[in-house]
Amino acid sequence: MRASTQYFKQKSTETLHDLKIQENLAGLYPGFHEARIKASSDTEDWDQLKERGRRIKAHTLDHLDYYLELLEKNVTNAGGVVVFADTAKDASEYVTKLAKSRGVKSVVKSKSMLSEEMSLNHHLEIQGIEPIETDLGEYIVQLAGETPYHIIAPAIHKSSEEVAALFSEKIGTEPTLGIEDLTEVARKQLREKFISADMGITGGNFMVADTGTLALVTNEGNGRMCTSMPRIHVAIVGMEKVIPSITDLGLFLRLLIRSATGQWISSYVTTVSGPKRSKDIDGPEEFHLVIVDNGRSRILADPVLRESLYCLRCGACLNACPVYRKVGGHSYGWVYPGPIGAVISPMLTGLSRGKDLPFASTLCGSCKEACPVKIDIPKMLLYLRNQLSEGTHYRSERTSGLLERAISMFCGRLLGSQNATAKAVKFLGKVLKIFPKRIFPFLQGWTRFRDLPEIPEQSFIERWRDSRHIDNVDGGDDGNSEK
Amino acid sequence: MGIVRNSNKFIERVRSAVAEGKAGGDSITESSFSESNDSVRKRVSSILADAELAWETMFENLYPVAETAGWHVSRVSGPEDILAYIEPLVVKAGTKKIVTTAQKAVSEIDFSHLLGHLELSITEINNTGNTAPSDLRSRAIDADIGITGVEYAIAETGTCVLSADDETGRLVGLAPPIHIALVKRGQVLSTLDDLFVIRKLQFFDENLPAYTNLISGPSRSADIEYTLVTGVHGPGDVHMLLIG
Repeated sequence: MRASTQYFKQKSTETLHDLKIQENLAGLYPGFHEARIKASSDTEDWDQLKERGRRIKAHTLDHLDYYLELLEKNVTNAGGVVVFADTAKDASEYVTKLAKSRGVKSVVKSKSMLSEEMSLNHHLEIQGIEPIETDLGEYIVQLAGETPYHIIAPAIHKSSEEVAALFSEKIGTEPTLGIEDLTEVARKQLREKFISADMGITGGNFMVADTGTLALVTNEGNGRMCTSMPRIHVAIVGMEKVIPSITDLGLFLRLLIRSATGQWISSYVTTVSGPKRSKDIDGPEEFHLVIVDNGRSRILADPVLRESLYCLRCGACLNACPVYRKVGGHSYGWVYPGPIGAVISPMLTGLSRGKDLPFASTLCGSCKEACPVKIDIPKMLLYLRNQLSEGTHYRSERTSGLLERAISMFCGRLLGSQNATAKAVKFLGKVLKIFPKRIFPFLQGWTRFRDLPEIPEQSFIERWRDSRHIDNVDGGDDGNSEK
Repeated sequence: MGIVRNSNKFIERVRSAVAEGKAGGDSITESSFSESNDSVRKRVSSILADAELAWETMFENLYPVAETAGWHVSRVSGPEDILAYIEPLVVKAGTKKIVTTAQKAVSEIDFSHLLGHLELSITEINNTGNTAPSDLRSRAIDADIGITGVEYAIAETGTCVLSADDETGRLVGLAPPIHIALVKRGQVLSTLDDLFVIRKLQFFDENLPAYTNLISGPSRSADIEYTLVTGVHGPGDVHMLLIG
């Protein structure tokens, strides 16, 4: 997917004025967010589970080379083919070539954010292979020619009326169908596709190193279909999704599922350890596991940002975020929206292009609190802001100009001195009283969306001094007398 | 081209990124990753002994959680009870075709009693070779009801565990709109973790199943307006019968 992260301001402004989408987004909070809070508080020792999950992730990434090699060995021993792809393009190339060489005409897909990174559907289409999204939300988004709006609920920005109109236009159903009927239409349409497809493509929520097992968390059953019906199963997974042991899987399933939808467990958890065994009645004859880097090693190499790779893709930080809930998923301009997207999208697609994303946060900390592996997203957003302006880690992608840095340095000095700051602000206050604000074009970046407050006659420090003076006259002790 | 079957270059890059971004100090692991064969084997014996001994308690614990997960749960005493449970279901749904797995829990039931007074076809999905695989596949896809046993059930989450093998086809509990799962005494485990320890031992013993589904209630989606709908691609109507 081509990144359009540079349009954040424009797109978020549009979304804020789109009352229909605002109405649809309003359901996130009472929906997923509150369900997550309930499920986590129903879980015994939730905080300890989070801490354990975090530590296991930290350990795994600190030894990622080891665990990837172990995983490769065990999947290969089970009869699977493991492929390592440096970039999204390489991964797409492998999948399309495989499909062509096996005479595949159509592919059924279970939801995968990584396949969006790869623009896999596009690559399959230009090779004459039909890709069909089978998750209900993804199916809707594919019919509409859009991209997913939310990590776990791709079509959450559409009302049922809009979906009914879409189905009517594309499939020819009645334009007034309700949600149950729409689902039934999708079931019938897609059932035929499952039966005739030669290849099933899925993502993966976890790759278990010590048994060579892929784990998939789903609710609709399309993941089961994609791994049962077609003769070839291809899983595409980001390299950070490894966990050491199958005995860790229970912990991570609880953390992921309860944070994602607030369910106690999802309808289905599918585990795949290679293609069908020779004695098995049915199942795919081939299993390919494509492990993708696509910029992740750059994040891995950064001590501050590394923990963004702990992410389980539950979407809890999106639902918790007061900014995401207003500006929606498309504003972020790439595959991963919301707070975690504001960290990883610029890192994977270019910092300077995505320079607005680290600023799309109030730093309120809701994302960190919601995260099942306690990723410190606010810390990383501040770090990226710093790198964009004056840091040296990604110097070539820095967006601040020399003049801007000089002004910042001057302002920094100014703010360092109480007296000078007070004098400067007072002076500014007088100027603003005489001239209208709009004559200062350099302030517009700030004032277009916010009101500049009136600057009072007396500064806080002056008022503080005065009040202490009065207290002292009354015999108070630093204004803090003990009773 | 960056696609490598030989993983050396890829792993090398990861290795140097791991070293470059290390925050200092080795992170401790709490994974039981390196647990020995013997220790795993002991744990599994005690898990299985518990499942056998405390089966009644396990059923009691499983029942309400499975109901919350969306299963219709019922305690039954044996084959006659099971047939008595299935019959009204068949009548109500206007069922014409049933498919079953070849698992023992299912094959020991004599469905001919149902056949007697209902117009039904019952097909066992197996690999005895009497019916062509493609034909069996179509029958599973066309069926109204799928009846399976389970490998295990899990009380913590209200889950039926079904693995693919020479008795269990993948489509029986998936393609038909109604799924009936038969759980025998001794098959219920307490937690997800119990199942995964068993998996670890199976890996040691080289009999890890290639494919497993943990099934916890009906197929469902909330992709349109957060509204819960059941029966999207999998069965929307699921029944768990606890035998014994």
